[in-house]
Amino acid sequence: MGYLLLLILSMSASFYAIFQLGRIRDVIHSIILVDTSIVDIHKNLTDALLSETRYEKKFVIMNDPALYDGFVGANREFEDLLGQAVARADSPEVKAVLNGIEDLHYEYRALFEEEAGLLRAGQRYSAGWYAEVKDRFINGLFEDLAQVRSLSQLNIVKKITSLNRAGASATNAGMIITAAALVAGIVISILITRSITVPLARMRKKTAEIGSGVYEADLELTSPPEIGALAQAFNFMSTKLKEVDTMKSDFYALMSHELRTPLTSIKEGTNLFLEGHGGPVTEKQKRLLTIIAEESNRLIDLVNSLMDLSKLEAGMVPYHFIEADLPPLVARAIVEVVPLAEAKQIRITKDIGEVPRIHLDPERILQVLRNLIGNALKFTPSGGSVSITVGRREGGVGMSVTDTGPGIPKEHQAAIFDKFRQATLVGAVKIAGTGLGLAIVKHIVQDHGGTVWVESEARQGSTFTVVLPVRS
Amino acid sequence: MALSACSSVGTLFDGGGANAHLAQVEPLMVQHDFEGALREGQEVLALSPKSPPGDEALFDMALVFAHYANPKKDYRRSIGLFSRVVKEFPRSPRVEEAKIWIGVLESIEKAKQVDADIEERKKGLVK
Repeated sequence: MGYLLLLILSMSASFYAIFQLGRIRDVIHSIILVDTSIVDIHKNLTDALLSETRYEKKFVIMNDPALYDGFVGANREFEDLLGQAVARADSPEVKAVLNGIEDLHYEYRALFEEEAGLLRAGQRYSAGWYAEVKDRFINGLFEDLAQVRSLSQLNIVKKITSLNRAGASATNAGMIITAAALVAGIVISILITRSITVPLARMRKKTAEIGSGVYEADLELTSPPEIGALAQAFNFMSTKLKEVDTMKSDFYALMSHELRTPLTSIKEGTNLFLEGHGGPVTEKQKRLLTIIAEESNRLIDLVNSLMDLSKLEAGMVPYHFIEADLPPLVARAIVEVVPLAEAKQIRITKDIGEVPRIHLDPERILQVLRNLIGNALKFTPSGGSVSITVGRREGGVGMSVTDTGPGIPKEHQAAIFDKFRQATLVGAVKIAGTGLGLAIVKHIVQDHGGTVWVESEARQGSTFTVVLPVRS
Repeated sequence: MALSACSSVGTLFDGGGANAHLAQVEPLMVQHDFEGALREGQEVLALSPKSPPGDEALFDMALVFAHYANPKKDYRRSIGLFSRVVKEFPRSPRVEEAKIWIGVLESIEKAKQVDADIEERKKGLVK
């Protein structure tokens, strides 16, 4: 539509310019072929008439046939020129005057022929009367010729004035159409650009949402048609991804449930053997049974984490929100990990500031704290320290867990909150883990309307920060 | 023809000083000594103002003013001298010839006037 409008504007400007140029060309053609031509013919007519008069007067004086022949020749030339002028004249006024000249000239010629006849016959006649009447005709002819020239010059002036007007009008119209085309071009370009960039921006945002696990097929774009078709394909892809994700979560939930029961049986059976309920156990058997028990515990933890995450993703986790203080939950989480810290000779410090009560599910937030502090202890080498800070933050209450571990490379920091992604630690050996803890943390924090992020420098440790909103 | 007529008349009436002067006019004119010819003609007129060869002298002087080689050619003065021949010597054999000359010269003068008038009109039209 925009291109059509631009095309129409451009074509209008071109047609108008062609029309005006054609008009100007016609007027110039008319000036050259008609008016200036008549002015030239006027000069030749005047010369011919003067020549005619000269021959006529000399013939009357000398009665010489050669002079009469000269008169006839000049007369013919005058009539020819007059015929050309009548044929070229395009103005009724000029035509009328030229017709008057034709009549007057005919009378002059007739009078002269009459006088010439008398002269040839040698008859006496009133030469004075003839001279007077002929002079009157000649004067009339010169006056009429002067009028033809004046009218032609006036026509030239009129046509040049109309040319000037047409030129000015064409210039104005050209400027207006050019300005309109320019403005329309800019506006249409902006609209076309926006019609492409706005849908693309929405698609980019939607892509980021899909990247973060939101697969809602709610992208509604209808124009331009190509973008609309792309949006439909995008929504189809979102729907399919959601189905796949749901299937995957369902699969995890089912498998976790199916695995946990036999694993629990294995764990309990192993413990019974270790306690000697199955008979005497040798040292070697005890070591093997201990390994089986630890691995069973790790598998049970993994299955539990998988079940938790699957439920969180499926929105099946029931939250019990209450107005509660965060510091007691932090203290409880610290108490739970003190034995582990002491075993690894890691010092735990805490800095709990004055914070308001917040809207939270204590059990879930406790799960967050356990994961973050547990991770810090896990990755901090022996002799290091872990510090926990609670205080006011912009937009809510913040809690940070800082360790003196190996740190996380910048390029991995964005991915560590994804499930099954463990960060590649700087200078550290691979530490066993489910790779689900931070994904669970992120889900729970987001379900509380909060945010979580990490700040880390290589070999200088990491700081995980959670900010939970305060209800106004 | 006029010049030969002039010489023959001078021969016929060669008895006085007038004729002697008249006889000088033609040779002087042939030599293109127009001033001398006029001077001799005046001498003849002074001696014979009302009688021959006064008419011949007037006729010859008129021819001097109409002569094609005379730098002081003057058709008006020539016409005036030819007219005097016709008026003052009506019985002169030169009268008819003088009338012809008058007609020719007047035509030429009128034609010149026509040209002058036309040129004048042309100038007016150019303005």
